[in-house]
Amino acid sequence: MVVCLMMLIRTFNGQSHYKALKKNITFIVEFLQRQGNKLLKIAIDMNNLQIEINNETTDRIDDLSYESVSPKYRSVQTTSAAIAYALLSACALFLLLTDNLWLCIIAETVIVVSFFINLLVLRKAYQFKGYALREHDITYRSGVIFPKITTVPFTKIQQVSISQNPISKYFGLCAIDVVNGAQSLSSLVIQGLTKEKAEKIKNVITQRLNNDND
Amino acid sequence: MTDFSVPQRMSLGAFFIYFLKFFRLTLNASIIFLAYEIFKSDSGFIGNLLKIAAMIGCAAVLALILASMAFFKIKFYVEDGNLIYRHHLISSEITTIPLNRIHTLRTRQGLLYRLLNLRGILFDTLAAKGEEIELILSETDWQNLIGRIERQKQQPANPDIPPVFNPTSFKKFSNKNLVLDALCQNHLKGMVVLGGFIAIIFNFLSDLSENAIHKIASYIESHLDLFSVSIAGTVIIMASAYMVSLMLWLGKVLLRYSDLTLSYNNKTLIFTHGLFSRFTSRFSHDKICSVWIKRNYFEKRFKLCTLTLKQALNASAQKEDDNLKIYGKDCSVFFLDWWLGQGYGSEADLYTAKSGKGVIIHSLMPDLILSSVATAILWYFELYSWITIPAIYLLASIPKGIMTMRHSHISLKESYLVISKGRFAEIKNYLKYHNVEVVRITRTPLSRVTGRVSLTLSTPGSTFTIRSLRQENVLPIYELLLAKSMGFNDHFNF
Repeated sequence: MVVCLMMLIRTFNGQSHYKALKKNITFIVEFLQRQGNKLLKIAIDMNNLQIEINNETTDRIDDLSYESVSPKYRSVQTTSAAIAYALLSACALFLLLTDNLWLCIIAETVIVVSFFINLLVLRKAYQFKGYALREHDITYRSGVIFPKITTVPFTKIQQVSISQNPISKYFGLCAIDVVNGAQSLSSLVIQGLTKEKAEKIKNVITQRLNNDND
Repeated sequence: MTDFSVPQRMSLGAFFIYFLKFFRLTLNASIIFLAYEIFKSDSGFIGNLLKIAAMIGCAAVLALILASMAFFKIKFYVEDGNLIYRHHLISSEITTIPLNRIHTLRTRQGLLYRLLNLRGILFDTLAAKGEEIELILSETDWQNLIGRIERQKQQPANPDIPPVFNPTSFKKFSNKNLVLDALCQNHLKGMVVLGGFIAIIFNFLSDLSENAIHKIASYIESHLDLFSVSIAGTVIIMASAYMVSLMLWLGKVLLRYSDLTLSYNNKTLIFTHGLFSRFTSRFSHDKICSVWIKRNYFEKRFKLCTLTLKQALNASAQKEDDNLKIYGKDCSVFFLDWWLGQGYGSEADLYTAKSGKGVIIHSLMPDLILSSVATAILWYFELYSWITIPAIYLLASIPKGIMTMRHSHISLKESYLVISKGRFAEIKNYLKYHNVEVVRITRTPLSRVTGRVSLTLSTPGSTFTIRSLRQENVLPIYELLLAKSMGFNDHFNF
């Protein structure tokens, strides 16, 4: 746009058409050379463009567009929570042995209310959960009360695991565990991925790691 | 010839090894139950023999089930430069380890392994939380696998043999400075040693017969008036306890760190220390991941410091070397010159960020909880005047919080970064960028209002969190840390 505008200004600036055209061509060539050098410099300097998340390519950590985990993950979380609370509820039934019916009713009510609060929190947690891959690192966003963003450079990754427990297997989901050499925060687990997505992430990481050696 | 390109199980001999391992375990677990059953039964020799046979049979069946699970659940193969394990039982897991990440390859050949011509192989990566899976292979399979790995890796497996050490320089640390610096520390650390002694005495007393304890109790009871002391007496007792703890603390430091000598070249530091038992700690230049330097008020005044070199920890690392503390004359410049390179001090700051008032709240939180609990208890027992004690304690913690805020900051230089922390003492952690493994930003519920966040970075040796930093300062630091940790000189798009 800028180049075209400058061409028009130059062309209708009182010069002959031939001279103006020649000047414009020289100008365009120089402009492209300058831009080319600039682009080359940026590429050499080091970019960290986000890869294949929607169509946008945003690079800074605060501008990343995070890919959500599968919507089925909410079902996995709900099922897991339901099982855990059902077990708790069953344990609370033992209070009947103390011949105190009210205590049992109170315990069961607390458990049921906690379950529904937990579901709300899980819903909120699901909305915030997301991951983003850039050219040189992987970022994971999670948390409800203390939301956190964690980034692991590919060069620091030591091993990658894809795992499925019976519940996530039922819903066709899996988790990817990216292990690095840090003393703590050594494991970045992204839950709720489809098998294809997990495989894709694993392939990206392992390819980068294997290319490191070349 | 096995080429390990398709998923396969371990050698069949592995099943037998697993079976024997689990059989030993199950037999050990059931032996007490068996002994109890035989002891209480009246069923005679044959009956007992039958019981033993039944128990051994049960243990064998259980071991067989466990061995089958261990053997059949794992498959492994080598594909595209990766060693891949597959576990399938109730949960399934596929672990991919790039061959170029395998740091150490350990093999095991016990007597049983040798009898069956097998070899146990363990692959170590630098991951602290790594999978440690032993592959039990026949000698032929082992040769094929190592051949395959070396072909893919295009370099031989690193046997992790330390380089030959040729010391070129020596340094001796003075015992006088060691004692002086030990006196500058928190003397109440001696209480821990005292606590240890008291625990030993208590254990000894609990082993005494009831009669002896009764005699001691009655003696104390009859001489109770002798034990009741005035305020001056209490002060004397407390002063004596303090002196004892001080002497114990000094004794501990002298026993462990006296006659500290250092022999070094440009790649390795070797410390030898200890009064009676001599300890040796070895530090490789490339394995040190941070240098921790502490200076409290007294240390600053007497030009002393406490210094620790922290090494990378991983699954196969040894922990003993990590606790060496160098007390004495301020030798931080010497160690930092050696580790970071001469002229490290002349590097300008690329980015700095200082913690805000949130750190005060964070450091006050434990004291606040403690004071609140104490107040609630005192209130419950209607001891209202005593509530002034937790109130004073909380007020006294405020300077601690302010000092924590003043010390807490991060500054990034060209080739290293410094994380300052500490409450009353100033603690500086020097790190190299390539040791940064993970970076994390954590927001709190108040971040929206205050605009402050926490920055955490983890190295193979330790983790650092700098709280209450301005978000706009943290983001460029975050990106720069990531870029520098990957070895890029420039940071991303700034």
